[in-house]
Amino acid sequence: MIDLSVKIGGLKFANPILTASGTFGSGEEFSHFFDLNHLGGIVSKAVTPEPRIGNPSPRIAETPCGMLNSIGLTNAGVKQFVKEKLPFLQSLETKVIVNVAGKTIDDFSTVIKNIEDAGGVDGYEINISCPNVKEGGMAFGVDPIITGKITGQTRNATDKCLIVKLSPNVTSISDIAIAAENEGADGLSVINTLVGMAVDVNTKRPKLATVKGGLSGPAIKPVAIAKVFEVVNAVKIPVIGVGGIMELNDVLEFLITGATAIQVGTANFVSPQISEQLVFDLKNYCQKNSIQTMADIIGSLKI
Amino acid sequence: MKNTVSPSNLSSKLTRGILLEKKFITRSIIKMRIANEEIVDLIQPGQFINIRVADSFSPLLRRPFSVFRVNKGENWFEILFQIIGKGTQLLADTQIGAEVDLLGPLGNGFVIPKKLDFAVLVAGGLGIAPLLVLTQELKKTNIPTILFWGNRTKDAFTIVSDFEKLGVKVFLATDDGSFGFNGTVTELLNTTVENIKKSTVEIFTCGPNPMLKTLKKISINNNIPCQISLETQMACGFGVCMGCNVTSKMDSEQYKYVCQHGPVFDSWEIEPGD
Ligand SMILES: Cc1cc2nc3c(=O)[nH]c(=O)nc-3n(C[C@H](O)[C@H](O)[C@H](O)COP(=O)(O)OP(=O)(O)OC[C@H]3O[C@@H](n4cnc5c(N)ncnc54)[C@H](O)[C@@H]3O)c2cc1C
Ligand SMILES: Cc1cc2nc3c(=O)[nH]c(=O)nc-3n(C[C@H](O)[C@H](O)[C@H](O)COP(=O)(O)O)c2cc1C
Ligand code: FES
Repeated sequence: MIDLSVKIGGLKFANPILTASGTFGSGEEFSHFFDLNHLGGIVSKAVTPEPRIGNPSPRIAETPCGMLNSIGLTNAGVKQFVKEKLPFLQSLETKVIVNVAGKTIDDFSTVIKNIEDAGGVDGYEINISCPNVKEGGMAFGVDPIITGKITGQTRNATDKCLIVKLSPNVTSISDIAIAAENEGADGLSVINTLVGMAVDVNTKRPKLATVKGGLSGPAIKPVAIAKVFEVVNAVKIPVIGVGGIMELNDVLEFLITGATAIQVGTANFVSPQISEQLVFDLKNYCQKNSIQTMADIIGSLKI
Repeated sequence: MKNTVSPSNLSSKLTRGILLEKKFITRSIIKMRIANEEIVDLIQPGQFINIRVADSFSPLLRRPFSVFRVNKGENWFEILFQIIGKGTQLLADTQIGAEVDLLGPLGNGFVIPKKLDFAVLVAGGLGIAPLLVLTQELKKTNIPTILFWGNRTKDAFTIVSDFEKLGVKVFLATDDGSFGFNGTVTELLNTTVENIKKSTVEIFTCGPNPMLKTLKKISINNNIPCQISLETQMACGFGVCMGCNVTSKMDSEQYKYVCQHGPVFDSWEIEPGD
């Protein structure tokens, strides 16, 4: 029997394939494409204390092998989330992680407390790395001291699996990773989008209303791999690799580099059943290569 | 914001079709016929299909196209599109007999009201695309239909026969005066709107945003209900990326999402972008 399971903190995922926040809705939008319970886990889109309408249009621009987005954490607020989305997520057998965002340091624990009071989920991913909001977001995630503070405070708010999602838009991602580890994070998601910009040469206007946005997709995979490499060498807690995963080889690349699990993001827009497909592909790969457990691959990088 | 998942998107299918036919209407406008059993039965007028034009990462995202015509008996549908960039060029290059990667049908289409003396279709350029399926549906309920269609030049007008075959009375306009009324389609509509509004009518429209803005004004000034089909940039097409927002007129605190609440809106619901 091949065992695809992996552990982050005390939380066991049936396999290392998760979906990335903001690219999988609350899962329900994909429920007619495949059985969500085949996944290792689902990460919901960002939830903030208050509703947020997000940024003006256009919010999307395609770039070579990738896309820019400036969604701006559009969500209906934690109260609505608890009412409308949580029951569906709680009905799933797969592990559910809620992505948490905020404008102030206190916002993060406020969201977690609201969800815990309603029965909770399996874990929380602290989003201190969104490049598309003026307050909070990436401004928190580039500062090791604030990162430490938010991690510590959210650690006090829940015993569940606590993951901190890091931004690549920093001088030293290791410093931020260590700050989160020291304050009790169970794992780190690496990476959120890269700040990017594109210009329409005909109108001479930026392609996004916010001028700059976050770059995702295959274009960022080499950056993500390098950041995972840096972080796994800096901390002892597990790392979740995110960035440009489109096919099995990408999954393997992250695992070999040292990621314990991965998240599929932009690929969900292109191929809505890709995350399930990757679970099957990984299982087949292990079968063919006589791999019994994920520990045989994770961190098997030869330098 | 309505925080619920659009039921029409929840019944969409991820499937493959076979390219049966492609016909060049002009040098850059193509009509494609695609066979697929899973999707055709579900298609409602005004819905769109999200097509992955190549099995590569460039272009990466799917490209949305309105359904132009359906034939439920023969299990095919058609799209009508213009080559404007890499994605549409790759789609145009698809060989007859090749597979086409489809996701759809998506979105919420036109709603045909019960009591109508006649339907007024208004199209600008390739905005004609979603209006033939609508005509097919109007024909089923025997609602007389007139079409106002404006184009930069007369080249694309061969499509008109598809409408005339269904009994539609067609009025044409060209920006360069090379055919029909010399001017914009909204100017053409204005010449006869006084007559039109004496009956119980509804406008159904699709086209460039400046045209839609003008048409919205005409419909409000003359008290004619108007359904507008909108286009925006899209990353997913099924309500997850939140990339397809348009300004909501009912609730200034909110946006509407084209793939989830549209692409067809009542004109008072939204403000088309610039
Ligand atoms: C719901 C919906 C239905 C659609 N139905 C049809 C249809 O039936 N027939 C058809 O020909 N097209 C339709 N479109 C537009 C079509 O999807 C785009 O033309 C196509 O995605 C362009 O891809 P590309 O790679 O060729 O061009 P790109 O390289 O993506 O773009 C080339 C240039 O055109 C601009 N552009 C891209 N998309 C649009 C757009 N939607 N409106 C205005 N400018 C744009 C870009 O900014 C760029 O400057 C529809 C769009 C939507 C959202
Ligand atoms: C449209 C869009 C919305 C996103 N929203 C969020 C979000 O709400 N919270 C978050 O932590 N990351 C968000 N992300 C970042 C992704 O979760 C992921 O980190 C990033 O896209 C890189 O992975 P990918 O290249 O596989 O897409 C978003 C990405 C995209 C493209
Ligand atoms: S295109 Fe993704 S939500 Fe509409």
